[in-house]
Amino acid sequence: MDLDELKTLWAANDPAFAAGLRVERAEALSAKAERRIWFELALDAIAILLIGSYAADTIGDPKFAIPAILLGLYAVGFAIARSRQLVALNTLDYGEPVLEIAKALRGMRARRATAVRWIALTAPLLWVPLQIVGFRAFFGIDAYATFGVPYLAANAIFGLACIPVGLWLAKRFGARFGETSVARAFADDLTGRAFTDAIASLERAQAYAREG
Amino acid sequence: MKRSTAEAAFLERLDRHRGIPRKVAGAYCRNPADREDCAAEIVAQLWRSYPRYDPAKAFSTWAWRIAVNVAISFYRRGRAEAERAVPVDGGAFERLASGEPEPTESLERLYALVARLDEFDRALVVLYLDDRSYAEIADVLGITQTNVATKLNRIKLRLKQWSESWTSTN
Repeated sequence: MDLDELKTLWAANDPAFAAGLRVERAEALSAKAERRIWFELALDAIAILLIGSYAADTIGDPKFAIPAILLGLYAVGFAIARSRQLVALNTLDYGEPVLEIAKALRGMRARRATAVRWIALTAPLLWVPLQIVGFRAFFGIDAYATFGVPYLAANAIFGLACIPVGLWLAKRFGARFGETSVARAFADDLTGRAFTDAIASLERAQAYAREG
Repeated sequence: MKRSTAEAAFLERLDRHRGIPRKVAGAYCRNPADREDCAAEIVAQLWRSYPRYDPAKAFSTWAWRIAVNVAISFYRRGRAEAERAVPVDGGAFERLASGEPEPTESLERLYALVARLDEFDRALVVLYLDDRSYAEIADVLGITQTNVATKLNRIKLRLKQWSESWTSTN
């Protein structure tokens, strides 16, 4: 059977292709995607507002204000990265040629993988500022006075140690998660595998357009 | 609920090309339930992108582009599951649950052959099977017509070899 014979078979199945397309399900999917985007942006905004408000309250006391500002900068950076991704995704015109969209999506995937990698690798460093701000904001406890500087320094070292350990764990066990699981995606982002894959697939798309 | 004028116009256009989502979904998903999800996602994206549609251009070319773009994203997102979940019983249970019409045995065979191609070649084959012109295929994919012809010749050769080896082993 060759491609031209398959054409006849394809045409014979035309009524089956056209039957019972569920527009209602498509409407529900569309609304769900929109809701998720707004929910994520709302969470980012709440985090920034809370941290910003705390930083403003403690601005006269640098030992509390500086950790809050660090957390705030991190939250703002995270929100900017997420918003840029969302804007890029929502402004992407799926009506453009397939290879153009493939290249754009794979480029975005590579940038997202880089952003997630940096966010994940630097997150353990925020463990100490998070404790200082969290204890003060939620329980009124001064972490410097209550736990002492050696405790906070030990936590900072622990945070630093988490980075290579996390990388090792992601490399060692990442492949054990299902290929489509969130844990696998995170492990791939962390180890840089996702970035490499995105670049390789971007190159495949470019090569496809070039080939004669 | 009463549909808006834009929605009614969209549905009217979609109705004339309602086979596109399922044709494309079939080329990228082997599991019938996935096919239906993919087809629904294509329709959702068509509706989301509809405000950008230029009525001066052919709706079908625009719809094909969107359908293939969505299907490739869908395929890449769940590739492992899609490849693994080849229905052992011909997909009868999944089809029953999804409401998808019963495909013929030859159509399943066609899908199986198409599934051996890479993601861009699949689009090329589906467009060719649907009797689209080289110009339209080139327009949908964003490559030259010469490139379309060259790639189709290569695919024809590969499909023929696969089909022959299939026949000799079954």
